[in-house]
Amino acid sequence: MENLRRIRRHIRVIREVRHITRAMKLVAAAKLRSAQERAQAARPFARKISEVLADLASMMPDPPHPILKGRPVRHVGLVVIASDRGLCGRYNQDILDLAMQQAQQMGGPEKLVIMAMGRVARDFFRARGFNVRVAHVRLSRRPTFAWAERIANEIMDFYNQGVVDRVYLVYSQFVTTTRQEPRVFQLIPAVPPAMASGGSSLPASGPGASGLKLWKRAIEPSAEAVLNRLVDRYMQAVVYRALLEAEASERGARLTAMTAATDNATELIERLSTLYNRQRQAVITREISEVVAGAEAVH
Amino acid sequence: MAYGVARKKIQLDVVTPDKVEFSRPVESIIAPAWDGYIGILPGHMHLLTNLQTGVLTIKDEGEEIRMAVREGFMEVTPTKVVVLAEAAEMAEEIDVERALEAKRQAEEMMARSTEHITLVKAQARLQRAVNRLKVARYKENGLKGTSGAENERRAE
Repeated sequence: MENLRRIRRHIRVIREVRHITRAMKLVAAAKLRSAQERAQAARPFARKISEVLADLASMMPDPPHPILKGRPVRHVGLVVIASDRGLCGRYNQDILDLAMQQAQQMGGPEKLVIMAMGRVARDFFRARGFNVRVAHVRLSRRPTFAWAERIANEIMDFYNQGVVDRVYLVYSQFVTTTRQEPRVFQLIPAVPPAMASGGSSLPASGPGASGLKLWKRAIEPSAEAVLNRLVDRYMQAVVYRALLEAEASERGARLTAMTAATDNATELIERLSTLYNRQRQAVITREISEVVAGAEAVH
Repeated sequence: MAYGVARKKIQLDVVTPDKVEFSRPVESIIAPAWDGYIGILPGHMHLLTNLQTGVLTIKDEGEEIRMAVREGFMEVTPTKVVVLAEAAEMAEEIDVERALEAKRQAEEMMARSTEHITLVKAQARLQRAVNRLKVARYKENGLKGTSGAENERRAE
């Protein structure tokens, strides 16, 4: 009898847990949809601005912008975007693993300056004695462009002040609900993806052809003025996009984790119910045979 | 088409950080370039320019579409125009009440500001609010084909 009661209590507890994981799963599913839409809607702007920047930079043989040029590296900045809360499977672990790997490659903690987005990232690097220069928490709820602008400007200020000489962004790219890819993106010196792949809207030009191209194209007010603004905007767009990708990834990871947890709970409840029924049946059978045996003894 | 001749068109993409606001071929565009409004027709020369906060006017099939754009860039090639703006809103999307409120706040801020930086920020905010109201009013008054200045006078 004692045994039966214990199983029943166990089942009840698992039901309660399943209640919570199921609620979290539903919330994650609802938020994932809007996060995913926003992440996808932000991609064209980031891509286009990258193309325009790549075009302009390729026309100037020696781009007169410090953020495009780069310089000898003494300190490396790592901007790590993770989540504020747990219960999202391996999401944070994957990002932090990649960030640590990058940190090792860059020559260890003393060379690094961490800019942490999300509570988990902040606590992780603080606990390991890294120099956490900036920490933003509670922004993954719904990243806005204004936030991205602030963060990008912060990064550029650090670069201009000489705090960092090279900056990487570590974030998670949203692929599908069940797949998120942790990525390292080089922010400074800026290499717009369109430039790296050579795939811009205009035919690429070598340094020799650039004089000719400047002739054929008007740039107003001037190439330098446009470039300065374009670089700022590019950095903000890249950060914004990463924040949105990270948010969608986190929601996806949480949905996957909570779906798995709910399924596991259901399976466990089924197994325990079978066990419970079997044991109850055993008790009943024993009681009947005792009654029968007793009756036979009387006769 | 009236003359049975398809007019030449130029592909226009208006893209903001949040979404692709507009994407289709159009007949002509008037855009707030860095030193004033410029008109763009198919076959325009290559151009890369800063954009100011202002009204983007799109003409197509006898229809005029106006958008309030917040500063950004425009890249023009003979067949394609890409407008990259911080924000772009069609008249329907503009909340007049909110724009009026923003205008009031910006004016207040300007009156109070003593530092140059806050003054500049307030001016930019005021400009954006006025710009959005301007676009919203085009729609309200149904004033097609009038110049911005004329419309503003009427709206006052």
